[in-house]
Amino acid sequence: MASFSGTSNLTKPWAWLAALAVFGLALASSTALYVVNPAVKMPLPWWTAVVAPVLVYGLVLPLCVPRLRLGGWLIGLSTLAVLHVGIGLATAWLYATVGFTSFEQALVPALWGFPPALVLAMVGSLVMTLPFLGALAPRAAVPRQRAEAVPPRAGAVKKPRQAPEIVPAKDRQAWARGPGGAGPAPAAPATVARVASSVPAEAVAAPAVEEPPVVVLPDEPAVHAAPLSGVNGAAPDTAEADELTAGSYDLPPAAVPDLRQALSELFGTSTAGPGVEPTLEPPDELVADEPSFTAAASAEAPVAPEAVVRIPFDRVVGQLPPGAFRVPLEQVGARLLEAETLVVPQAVVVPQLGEGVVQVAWEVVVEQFPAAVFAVGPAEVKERIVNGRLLLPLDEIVRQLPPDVFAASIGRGPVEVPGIESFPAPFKPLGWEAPPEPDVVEPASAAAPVSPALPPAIPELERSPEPEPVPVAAEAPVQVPAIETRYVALPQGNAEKLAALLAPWETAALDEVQVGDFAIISVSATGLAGSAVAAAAGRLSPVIARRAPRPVEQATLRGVGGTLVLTPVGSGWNTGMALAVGVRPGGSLARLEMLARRAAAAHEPSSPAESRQTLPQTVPTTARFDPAPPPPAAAAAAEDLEAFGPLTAQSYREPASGALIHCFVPPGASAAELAPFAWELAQAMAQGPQAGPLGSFHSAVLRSGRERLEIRRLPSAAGPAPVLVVGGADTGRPGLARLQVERAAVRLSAA
Amino acid sequence: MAIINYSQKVINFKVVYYGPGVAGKTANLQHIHKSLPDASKGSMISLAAGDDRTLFFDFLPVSALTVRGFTAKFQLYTVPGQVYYNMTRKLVLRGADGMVFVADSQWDRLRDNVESFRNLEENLREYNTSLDEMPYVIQYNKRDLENIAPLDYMEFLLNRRARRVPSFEAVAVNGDGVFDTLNTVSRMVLVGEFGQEKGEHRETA
Amino acid sequence: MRLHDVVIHEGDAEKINAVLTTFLGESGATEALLIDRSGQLLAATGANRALDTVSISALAAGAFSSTGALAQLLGETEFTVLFHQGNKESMHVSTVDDQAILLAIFGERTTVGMVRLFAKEAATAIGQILTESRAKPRSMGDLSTPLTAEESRTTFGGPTKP
Repeated sequence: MASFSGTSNLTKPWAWLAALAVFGLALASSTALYVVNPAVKMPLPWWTAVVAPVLVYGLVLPLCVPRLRLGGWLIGLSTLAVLHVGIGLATAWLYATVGFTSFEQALVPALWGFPPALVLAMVGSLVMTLPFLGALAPRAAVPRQRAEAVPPRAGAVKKPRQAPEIVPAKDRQAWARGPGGAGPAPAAPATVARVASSVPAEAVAAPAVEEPPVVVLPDEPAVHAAPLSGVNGAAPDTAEADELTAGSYDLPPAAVPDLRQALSELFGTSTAGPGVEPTLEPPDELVADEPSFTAAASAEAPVAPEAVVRIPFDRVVGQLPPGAFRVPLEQVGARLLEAETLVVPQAVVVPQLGEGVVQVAWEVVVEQFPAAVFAVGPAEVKERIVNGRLLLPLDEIVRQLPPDVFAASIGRGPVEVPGIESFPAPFKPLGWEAPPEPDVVEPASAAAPVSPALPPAIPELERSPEPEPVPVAAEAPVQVPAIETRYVALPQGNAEKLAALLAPWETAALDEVQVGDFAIISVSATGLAGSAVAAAAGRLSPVIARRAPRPVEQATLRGVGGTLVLTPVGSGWNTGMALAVGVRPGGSLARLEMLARRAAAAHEPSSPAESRQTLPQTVPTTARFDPAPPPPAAAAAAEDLEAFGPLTAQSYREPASGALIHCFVPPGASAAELAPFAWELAQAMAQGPQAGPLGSFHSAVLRSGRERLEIRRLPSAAGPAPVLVVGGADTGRPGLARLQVERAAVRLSAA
Repeated sequence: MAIINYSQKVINFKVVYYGPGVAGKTANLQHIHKSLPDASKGSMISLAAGDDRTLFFDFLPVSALTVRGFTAKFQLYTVPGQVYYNMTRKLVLRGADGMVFVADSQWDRLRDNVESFRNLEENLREYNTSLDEMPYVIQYNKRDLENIAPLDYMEFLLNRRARRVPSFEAVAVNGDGVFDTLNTVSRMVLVGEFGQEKGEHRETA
Repeated sequence: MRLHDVVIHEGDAEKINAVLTTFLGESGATEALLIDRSGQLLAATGANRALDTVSISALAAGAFSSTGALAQLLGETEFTVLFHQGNKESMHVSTVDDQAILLAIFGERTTVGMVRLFAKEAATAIGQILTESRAKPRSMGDLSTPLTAEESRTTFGGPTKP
């Protein structure tokens, strides 16, 4: 059966006509059946004919009318009972007329003896009252309105229209004029009994507004449907309930929350739903096939009723119609409930996240504007706003929301494409394994035409010992001469041993290169030039080896062009040998890291040259940076980084460039040594060639035992790029850690 | 749908680059065209309106590797991104074997990404197929710009179906991420064609 | 192989080429291309010019499909014939079946009427060949079994390719 949350039709003539028609029909069919076969008797005792209809009506009513209260139910039941009896009596009269019996005699069959008559009477009364059942639905408590609200429409209500006798006009005016102190409080309980008196409450909410005797409600019944949504039932309830419960707004008059509280008690609040009907769409059309995710999404976004997002007013001010305001728009911001900020409940925002656009209906935020700033009525303000909704800046919202909101999808794990590894990359662009562009070739390398000359952006460190790649059984670069030039100091056969260990990994090039003080064994996946991998490794290894406060077991560096996993071979960095694996983005790194560690650890240096410990020991940095005040977003960022354990924020400033280094370390630890190292590493990371594979890196993860250090270069519009450093315990959740660091980076970039 | 020609020993696949307007679909193809050796590519056709926006499609045939004596050729198409070109998008989609969804990472284009993705699903339905049956990857382009959304939000927006797909960050105008995307989607197509599948797609004589 | 792939076996290719050659001889056209509606070339016959048949196929299919959409806006199913007249070279495109179209390029040696006449016959013949081809069992020949891992590595020329 249809649910009657529609308008009640007590005033509609067609409804009455329909009822009349049904009445006639019921009577006619009942009489006809009686005439045809009056002998059908009711086998059950007579009181069934009383109990059955009562039961039926009693059960059907709540089904047809949502949220039917006891009062409404009783009213409905009695009406139906009256109708039932009425139909019965009329039927009896008809039977008497048609059957030439007396009225009293006809009463028996009509009321209980003749089952079809009973059934028809029940059906008839139900159908007759169908159009009017909407009137039994509980009246929606009216959302608060401006004092100068449009006089509310008098919607039809089954309860007869009563004049608002409770608050006589003069009292109302006094009330409106009152500053919202003791005055309304005593009046409030009285008005609670009236549905719509929240409208005068609005006048109270307008603080210190010297309005003339308020455009108070005219003497028509204050009962009305919420004008903003126009219908009773679901929508206004939700919208209004949302306002009732989304109550993180500080309302100046203390009395008003009481009133709202009282109203909500009387009419029952629905749960803090999303509330804003026009913008609400099922959040996941993208995932229409999978109800499980939708359920997960709604479960994953556990929104506390007070949870809000704060939108800087200047991000939305452009959407407001200037003509609707009495003061210039720039000044409106200062007068908001929370100055310069629009507060929007998260419950409104979160369901829209999947849409890529978030809007909020004007009604949800209108109370944050003091009434005085409006030059026109609220309905008109809404009309002047496009679609009656404000577009909210997504970046602000995403920044403020807790990460779990997105966790549902990320939490599913890495993407697997079975079988894809068995195919090598079909498309190899020019320069794939070929020499880089001519302008990059070092003039000094003319002696041995070493094709993969390193790109010029490499710092001095690597220019002096010219790298001479050993063409191993790999896709040798084109122009290498047939003569195999080997750097004498390099041990033989390391590459092959490691290659055996790394066999499951698709390798395209395996090189051993001496870069500076380090022998780099570079393994590059298809698509990355071995030289690029070696160059990057050679650039970064010295910094990591010598400057890190703690010995680093493995470093993973990510850039847009690819990812580099750097692992010292043998017992540590002091062997002077490192394994550098370069892959394209999008692979499964965990396995690679593990393989690299295993390969590097298992490898025994096969030549005495390797064990010569010519490298200087770790030189702890003596540089000291000046402490700087942490940015405002730092505290929030520290909370985000829970995958590292508890952290505190310490910021430092690099003396030469003035760049800020934001460090997050466990409480009690000092980041004073960490900051210079991070700075130096960030510089080395940034120095990659801008074009081509494996360029610069934007983030690094360094693991030392049970500790994890993440270093990330933050974007900066002007001035030196700040650096984010997060050091803490490795809690075994690398994916989450990385995401949280990214979030923190976003927070800090905005600050 | 792939076209297998036994007499010429060629298998032709069609891969379509989809996405909202100015997301970088054409830039992808342009970079591929610029970067492949002549032996691996044909001429690139761009049917564009005067303002460099794709009017009908871009087309680039590229050839890849040899499988059991057959050459695998990929025909790369882009569709026009603007909303009102839906009819032509549908025409270009016909017979696609794989797709690349190129998304614009900027905050104010996110809605366009979502709508374009839904439009893709809708258009595929008209061909009685769906993203579940189509190998595809997602490319988050323009990662070099300032006001871009973080990756986790973009994944949430576009990659949270039951079957998540590989996604790539890219700066197509520089070529970053372009070949990774192409190589992955082409391998996915090849796997679908030649791989060790469980039998739904196999037809026995 | 997948269910919906289009497979052209050797025998079919020969038959189609024969039909196209006959068509060229009778109509006086210089080249004939059989094109899949998704833009891929199925077969081509004709004078040995260095035509970019790949691009022509893609463009012709695109043009044909867009005029087809136009036709639907007019209430027609599609326009079954397109004729583009040039100064020296002209083009005639016609439907074969709902998968393929036939494109004929002709010069001043013949007229569009001739081309159209014989194109219709050729289309019918080719349509029949394609229908029979589709009805044949598909998993024939070298591609019927999936590749083994070893095969894909070595066949594609993996990392050790010179």
